[in-house]
Amino acid sequence: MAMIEARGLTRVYPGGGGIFGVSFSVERGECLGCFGAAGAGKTTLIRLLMGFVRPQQGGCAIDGADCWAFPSYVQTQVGYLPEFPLVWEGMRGVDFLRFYARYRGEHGTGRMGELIERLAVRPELRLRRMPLPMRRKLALIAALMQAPPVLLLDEPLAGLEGEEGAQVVELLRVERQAGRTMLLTSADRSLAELCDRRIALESGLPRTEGGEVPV
Amino acid sequence: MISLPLFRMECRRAWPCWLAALLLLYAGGFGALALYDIDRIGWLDRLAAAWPELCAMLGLDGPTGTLVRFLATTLYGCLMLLLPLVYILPAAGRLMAGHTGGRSMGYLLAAPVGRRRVAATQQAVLWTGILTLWLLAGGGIALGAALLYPGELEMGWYLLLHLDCLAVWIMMAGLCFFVSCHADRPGRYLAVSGELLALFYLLRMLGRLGGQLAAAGWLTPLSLFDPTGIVMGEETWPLVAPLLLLAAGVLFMRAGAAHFRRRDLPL
Repeated sequence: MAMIEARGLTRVYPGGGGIFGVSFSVERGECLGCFGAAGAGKTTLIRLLMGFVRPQQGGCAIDGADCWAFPSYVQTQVGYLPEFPLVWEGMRGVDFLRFYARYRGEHGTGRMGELIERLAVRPELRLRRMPLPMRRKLALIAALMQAPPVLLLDEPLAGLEGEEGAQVVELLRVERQAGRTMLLTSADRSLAELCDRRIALESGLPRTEGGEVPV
Repeated sequence: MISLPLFRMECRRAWPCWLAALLLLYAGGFGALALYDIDRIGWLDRLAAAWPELCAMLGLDGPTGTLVRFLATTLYGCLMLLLPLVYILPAAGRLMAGHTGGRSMGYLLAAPVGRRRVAATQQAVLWTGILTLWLLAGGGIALGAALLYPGELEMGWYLLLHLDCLAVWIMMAGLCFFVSCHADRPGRYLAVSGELLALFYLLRMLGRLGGQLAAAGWLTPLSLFDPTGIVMGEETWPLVAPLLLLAAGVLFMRAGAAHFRRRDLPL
């Protein structure tokens, strides 16, 4: 059984944007990259997989559970990195990570310390004072610290340049080697080398790119 | 079932507004108590005679013969409906629309905590804030009355008055929560809920003028709360109106939560 599966996934917004009939499957331990320009439908795809929006046609599932119908189970399997930065005003980075671990019902903070060190984050800073790249990395720590089997990463390199971008790419490589199933979206092709297979989205329509992604 | 970590975090975030509302309620309550002595020389009656329409609109034209009637006229007629909004309006907005608009709802839902549980937790935060505000405000005013005017406050009537007032607060909180569950941005929430509440107050004030405008009062749920009628014992069904307001508040909250469970979220 595929770990992530989408069949004819369609969601059209009133303005005409969205995605149209996207199908793919990602096997356990595999990494699928979804590339495309801004407005291509990458974030809509992630929203559908996260159960934030309901598909108008088709459906998607993670570990066999429908993403819209069983979001609570799906979320036990998923680490999610949103495209937008962390916006919990007034909280320190470390407070956010501890809160988030408790909120998720975890008994500890898992790999928090290790990831903070690896990504050179200063978690004692308040989020409102934290530079944007550091907030992005903190959000990635929140997604990874409990070592979930599936990672959904929306623009993991957004706002990160140079050494910080390289730190994240290296971390994602390690996660991949650890056997995580990954679906990442990006407008940045530099992540393509991480992926076993790739699809390109253009105005919400899927285009196969390398590999044998069924469309 | 609620999420305790989220409940604790939201209570901490709502704390400043809650405290501001409590202090304002105390200021209003103790201010009214301080004015009660002056009332014995009839200042409120003279005010009502000088500006009858204005006093009628603000609910200041009621009876003032006893302490509880004075409080019903000067405090519960207007201030006790407005001041809790210092807590209710921002808190209800932050709990749902604030998270949706600020995208932090994406983090809340990216956890094994379903939408039902998130909405239930946020409702619990709102209920907790309102009930503690109501208890502390009512208790503080009653204590102040006991200290300043021993034995003068008719506790039975005061409790009934304060209990009816709670029903109005819950109705307003339910309405705000309902709008918050529908809104994508805090600004839109504030505009819609603020305008609705302002309209309700305006209709209530117009209805109090009587004459041809009396019908305006029937268009607002706030008219179900008649503080002077309660303490004068003139309410035909003194428990029906608060029960209707309470039911409206609970239904608003449930309808808001139900919509939130089904809606697409722009996260």
